[in-house]
Amino acid sequence: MAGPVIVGLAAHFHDAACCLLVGGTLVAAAQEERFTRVKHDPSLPRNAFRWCLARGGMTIADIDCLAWYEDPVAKLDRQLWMGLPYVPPSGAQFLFRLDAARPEREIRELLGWDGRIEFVAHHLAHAASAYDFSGFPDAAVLTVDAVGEWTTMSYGRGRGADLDLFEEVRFPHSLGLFYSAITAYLGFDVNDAEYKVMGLAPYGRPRYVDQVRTLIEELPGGQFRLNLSYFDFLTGTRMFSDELCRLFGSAPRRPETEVDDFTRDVARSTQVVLEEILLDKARWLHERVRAPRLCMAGGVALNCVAIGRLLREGPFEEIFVQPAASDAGAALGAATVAHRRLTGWAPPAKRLSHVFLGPAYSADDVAALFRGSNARTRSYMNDEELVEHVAERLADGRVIGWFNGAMEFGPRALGARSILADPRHPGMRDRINALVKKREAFRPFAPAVLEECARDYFELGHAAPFMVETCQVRSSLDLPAVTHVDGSARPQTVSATTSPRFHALLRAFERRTGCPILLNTSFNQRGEPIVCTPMDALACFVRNDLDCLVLERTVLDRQDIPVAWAETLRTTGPPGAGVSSSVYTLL
Amino acid sequence: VNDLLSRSTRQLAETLASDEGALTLARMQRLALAAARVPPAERPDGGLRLGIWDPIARDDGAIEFARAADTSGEWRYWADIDRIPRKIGPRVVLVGESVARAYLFDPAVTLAGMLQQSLGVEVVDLARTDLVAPQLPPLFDALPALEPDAVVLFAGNNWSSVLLELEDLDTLSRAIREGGFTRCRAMFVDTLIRGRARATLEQIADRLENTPLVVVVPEFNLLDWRSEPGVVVPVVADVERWLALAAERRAAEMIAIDDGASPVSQQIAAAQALERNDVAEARQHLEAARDALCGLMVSHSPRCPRVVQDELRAAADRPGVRLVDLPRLFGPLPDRHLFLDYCHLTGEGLQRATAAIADALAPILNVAPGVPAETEPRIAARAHLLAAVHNAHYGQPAEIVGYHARRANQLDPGIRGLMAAVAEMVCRNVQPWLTRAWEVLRTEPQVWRYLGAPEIQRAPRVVDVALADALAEAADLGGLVDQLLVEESASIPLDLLAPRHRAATFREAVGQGIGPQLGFVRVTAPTSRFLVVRPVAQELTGRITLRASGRVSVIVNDVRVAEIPGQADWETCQVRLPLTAGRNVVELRWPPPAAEIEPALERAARRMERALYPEPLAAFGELHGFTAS
Repeated sequence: MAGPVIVGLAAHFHDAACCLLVGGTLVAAAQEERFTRVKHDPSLPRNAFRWCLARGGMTIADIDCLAWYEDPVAKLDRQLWMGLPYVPPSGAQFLFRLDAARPEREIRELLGWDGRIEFVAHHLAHAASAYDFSGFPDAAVLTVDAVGEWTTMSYGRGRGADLDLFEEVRFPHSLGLFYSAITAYLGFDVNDAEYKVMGLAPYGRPRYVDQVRTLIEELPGGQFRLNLSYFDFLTGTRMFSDELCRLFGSAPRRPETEVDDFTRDVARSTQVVLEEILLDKARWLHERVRAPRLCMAGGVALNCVAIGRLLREGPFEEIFVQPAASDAGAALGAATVAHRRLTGWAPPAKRLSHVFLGPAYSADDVAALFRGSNARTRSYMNDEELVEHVAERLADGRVIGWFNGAMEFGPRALGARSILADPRHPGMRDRINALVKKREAFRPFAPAVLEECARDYFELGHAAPFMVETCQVRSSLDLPAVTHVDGSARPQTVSATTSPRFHALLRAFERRTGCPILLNTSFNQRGEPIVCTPMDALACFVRNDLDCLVLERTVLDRQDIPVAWAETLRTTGPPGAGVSSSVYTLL
Repeated sequence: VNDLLSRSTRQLAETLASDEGALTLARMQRLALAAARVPPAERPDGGLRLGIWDPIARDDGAIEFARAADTSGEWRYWADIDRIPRKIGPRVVLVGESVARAYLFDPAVTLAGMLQQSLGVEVVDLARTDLVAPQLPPLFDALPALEPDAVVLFAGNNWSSVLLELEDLDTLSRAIREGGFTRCRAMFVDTLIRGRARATLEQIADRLENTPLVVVVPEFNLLDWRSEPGVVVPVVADVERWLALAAERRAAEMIAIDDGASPVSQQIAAAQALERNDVAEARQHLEAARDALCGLMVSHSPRCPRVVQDELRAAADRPGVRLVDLPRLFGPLPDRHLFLDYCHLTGEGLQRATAAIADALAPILNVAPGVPAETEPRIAARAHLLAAVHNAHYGQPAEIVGYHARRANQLDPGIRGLMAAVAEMVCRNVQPWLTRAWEVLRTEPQVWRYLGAPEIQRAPRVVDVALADALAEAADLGGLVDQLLVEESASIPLDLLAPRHRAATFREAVGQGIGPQLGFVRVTAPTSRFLVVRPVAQELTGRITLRASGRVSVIVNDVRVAEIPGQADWETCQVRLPLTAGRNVVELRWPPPAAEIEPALERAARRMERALYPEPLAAFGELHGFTAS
């Protein structure tokens, strides 16, 4: 591949990540958490950086440019503003964090890179990460997150090689922070558990919509304004104020306590208001741009329920959501913007067809794991035999840890690092939530469906390979394990081209059961990043109540693991404590 | 107004966007905090929790202590006892660190148990592995509930780890600017380590009131412990000359350059003093070698430096405090016969320490202590086996690793199967718990406590060949090690920067510094060694990406195969690697570190000002990639 070698980087906030762009083609991408096993690890992605180079057959000496996903000066500007009237603010949350030189310094000192660095404004990086991988020749662009430098939401247009952001909403008015504040109020971790609020919403009634609407004042055009008396994130110590508790007439829910009707109703009301605003702003953007397609990125774009509604009720015919829409994915956009700056040209306009951009492991790697053990494994010479064997187990109601090929980039497991099960089984959701994932009972699971059959079971008019939208289930089959309480699901369509083995497994399962759908959830347990290596997968399998582990073409059933393994891991949780907290630092 | 504010913050951000600007902001923040410094808070009420044990009131009003479920993650650091019963007779409380736990013997043998047997008096075991100084005052707060007749404090090995305060950042960064890392180290030791030790002892004295106290001064394995091979010399002026002097073993001149901040020069000086039979001078240099790394902000094994020993001795000047001075008790050159590793005691060491502590307690308790029992050979054998593992993981010479392995086998020939299991475990590339050997280890509680620890389960797989060889030789395991190494030899391409090829110790795997980890390997020794095992003889192509200040030699099995020019920027070179069947050692021999140190010191001082640890060791070169295919 001719053209510049560019490394995109995102770090220092949450979900640090790295990608490698060679001649405008995305060669590799991975989140640092997968290597360090620290969930949402924000540290400079030194492991992901090394891995991306190795994947591309590159060394550091081959790189032309590193691209950073943020403008450190603009960020410092906002930090100084947040601390006013103190200049500089010296509270614990600010101490030694007013440091616009940190990205460059750490890139030099910790990664060893001494060449060119391009700094890309955060929302431009988000926008490019969506538009440049959409394959659309002309599209509106919408980015929505908590905050990047000053921007919380931006509106733009991509046309050919050009990408222009023409309007923005500025901090502290932020849809991301609005949603996160309610997340914190409802007793969940911000910057991590917003999707729990989204998942909880269908269980509730929109009884508090009026109250939630008072939190946000809609303004003409693309603008809105938060009523800041209800929020406290400017202090950096908590997300919401006492005023918010008074508004809802209830104290904040204590984490890990029972989820009651009030919590469900506030979640539902918040989701409704978020969707209303997004719809309204999308309509305005459509009027401005008059393009039939929309590209989206930013953490709020991971709200797949809102995306589903935008698709159904919004003005755009087609929406591309960058599958790693949160900060990790901004590394991709930083890299493509840097590519433009270096070459004067946009990267080739190709649709991102898959996100299997992470580490892959060979049959030898898997065999080495068991070489010195008493585990009784079974290896298959070809995929046909393997998938028949696994499909049989799935049809028998077994829960399978499925490790297959290169790891996904982004938050979703899409058949490379997945836990799979029969979606028709009535008790399957509760079993996996309680015993396997060890998480809240209300959390829904997503279906993976053969792409060619998807329309028969879901109200879906297009391929949906990335699980970024929800739609209604319209299946003749009863699919209780993957159908949410409101009849919706977040399907992944699986193509034989991009996921041949996973596709073959679905096909084999269909042959046995008549159902071309599997429950597909990420291969990890609560608080743990998705597994990366065969070793991570094996440990997760042993620790949890999975019935069977499939590592490439090697199969291991629970009854065939040595007793010592289970007893060893029984007393130890997964490594890494994670970095979730009760407040955004914004610093 | 809003526009004005926005314009102003923007202007300010642009002005302060540089590294200099960030430093200015950090200094302003420190200044604001110093000016607003509030007096220290009142002593926090830690409640009555004693380490991992919570008080429970019995029906008769007496207090017992029971292990709290919410501390279960910590249980293995403390005595393995569920309950501390009410006091029914004379009672001694032992507070201390891992030495006081009888590390590697525990739980089969504990120091508290040995003391109890010797004194015939209850000894409550409150020693904790990894106990650090700030944990002591809260522990002493709760001690009155145990109504001790005497307390033994056996700590100080972990007191070199100091939690830095804001004002320390200023002190240390100034020291780096004024006198480099050697000045900084001296300041750290004399001010921070000594100051914190004194403060800790004062807090303990305040809390004890009239309860008699026995202070035990820890000793170090002076003769038989070496710093890790990756720790050579800090960033100092004239490092090239220092290295030239080292080649000629001109210790005094080396020390004049490193100012006591390198253990290497002190070890050479000690060896020379021993050659002259000057034991006193040898001890002086060995103590200096022990203390060289304290305050240097590099990782090192626990130890009790001179300043802490002095403070412990000074604490014994108070009324009601008795002293057990192990350095005086153990003689001028304590070695492997008393120590399993850097500071943990052998059976003989435990016996002598127990006897001395019992002697100090006897007049307080009005008892006549008996002679402490010898540790059972079976238990001592396992302690020595664990010592072999521990020494290997700290990069100790093969000779000492072999000594402990042989000692284990001598004490209990029945340990051979266990040694074979450990050898197999370390030869496998996978995590230990995946091996068949793990199942053998689990049947041995004393061994399991250490090798079954979660840290070991998750530790990077390093080059443990020296350990495997030592075990194989001691237990006569034949060709097991080579057979396993070949079986486990990876398919090409090989990533020789993986710890399994390049790091003999856990610290080598992650770097010797205590600051953030790097995305490349900073080489802090003149030679980098890589173990490459191949099933058959073959010539591979090495692809090396490196930075160096001069020529780098590539050596394969003692034969020079290439010279790489070396330059300040990263460069990638290809070299041929003629490898034999079985084990191969590939070496990179580096030029001396770059001579210019001022930028490195300024960088370090700036890091210190921002509460980040600097990189104090001189870098001979840097490696970003080394593959063989």
